[in-house]
Amino acid sequence: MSYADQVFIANIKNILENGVSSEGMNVRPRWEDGTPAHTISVFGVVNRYDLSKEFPIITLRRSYWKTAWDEIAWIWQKKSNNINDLGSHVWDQWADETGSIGKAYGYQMAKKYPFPEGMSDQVDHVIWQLQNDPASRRIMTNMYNFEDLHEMALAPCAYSMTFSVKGNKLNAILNQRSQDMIAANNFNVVEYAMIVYALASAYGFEPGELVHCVADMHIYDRHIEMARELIQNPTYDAPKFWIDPNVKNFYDFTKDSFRLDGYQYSEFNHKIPIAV
Amino acid sequence: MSRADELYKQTCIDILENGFSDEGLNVRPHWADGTPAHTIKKFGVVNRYNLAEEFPIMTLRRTYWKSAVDELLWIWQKKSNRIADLGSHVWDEWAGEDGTIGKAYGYQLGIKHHYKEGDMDQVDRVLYDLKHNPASRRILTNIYNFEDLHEMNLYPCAYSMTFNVTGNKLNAILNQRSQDMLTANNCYHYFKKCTSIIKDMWYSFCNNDMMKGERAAA
Repeated sequence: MSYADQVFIANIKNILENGVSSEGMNVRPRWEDGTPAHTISVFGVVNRYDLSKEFPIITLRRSYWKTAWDEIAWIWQKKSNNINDLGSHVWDQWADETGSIGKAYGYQMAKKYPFPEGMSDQVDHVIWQLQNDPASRRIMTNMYNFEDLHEMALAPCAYSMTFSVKGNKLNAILNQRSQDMIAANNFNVVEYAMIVYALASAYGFEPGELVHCVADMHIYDRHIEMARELIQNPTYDAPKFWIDPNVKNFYDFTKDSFRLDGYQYSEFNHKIPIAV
Repeated sequence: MSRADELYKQTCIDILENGFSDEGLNVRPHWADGTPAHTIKKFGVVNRYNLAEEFPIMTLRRTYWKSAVDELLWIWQKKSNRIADLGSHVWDEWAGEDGTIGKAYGYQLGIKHHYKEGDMDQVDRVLYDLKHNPASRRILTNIYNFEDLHEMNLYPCAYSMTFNVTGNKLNAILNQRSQDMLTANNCYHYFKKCTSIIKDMWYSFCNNDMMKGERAAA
């Protein structure tokens, strides 16, 4: 069993046993047929992954890590808010007729601000600090920009990364306001772990800890039976992670710069409905 | 011993025993005599306080809770960035000639943003959602505004609060990028306050009985 499997199973059990239902309250999200999409949820979950030990991927079912990198590249490298720049279709339902998801995600990462070193966007500023000021306690990104919220198709869920260098280790905290466990939990963990691996490898650090801090961790009502079934699946050891050591610039990483050797996973072919 | 004492001692011991020193690296803060102000630090600390059980104040030394409330009201009620509106002098060293700390803290909470219900600032939006959308997963404040960072005299340390209602309980997460344990830690547990020198990454999780339609934070 991978470490990520252990964490995932513990989270699901915790929600199933101690979660609070939103039944009886007004909720914003709806199922495709218009029914309110209720959840059972727990508050304030913190999951810690030691990235120096193993890659944090589950084997209970397949985690699409290449799709995860593609989305990260869309937001952190291309800094795009247009779904036409994205390989997968996970954002299609949030896009307008031009393909834009509004002033969300990549749009926020592309905005330039005045910093002591000159005009820079949030990603470039992180890279600059990692190279020039690694002791800084201000190496962070934040996309929860109130000014632009009303022009975002969806308020950012995973909205802030804080990096922290200790010795030769690069650690990071991912702050997330809301986490749909069945649709996206391990996907998000894999995404932000890959950012840490990539930044560490490019700028001369060892990967450290990824602390995933979730305010509202939930299972949707129509996912509950699926969740019970999923955690019974056979599990396997984590695959061996490889990252191209020759890439020395964050923007040069592609999906081919990474390999997960021996990734074995259980088949799980349920169609997972998404609440909008 | 209060629960806050236990957590405080535990955290300090952990930093003293396992902390990482930044000696040898360039650091921004300096002591009054010009020496670089180095730290020993821990990454990613999470402390949880169950506010239903007891008030999270320490007794190892006096915590000036009235000053903490005063600062809280300065930021969250008056939404001011003028040190003249604050009773204590903890912010004096950060004030510019105009008597403000720039576009930081209260200034950010005073900015109104567009919503479909009308224009509201961040505090009023929280109050609105607690009353009308308690099931929302978007009840949060965030003052780490990149657009205005260059006009803040100090970058916000305690920068975001996320509220979450479970049943009749109001819970909250305080996100803090940096925590000076000796100067400000116990003040921070709920009453936000920030000064800069010896710091650590700090998260605080709080759990509070919800009083319907009122802000239960203070």
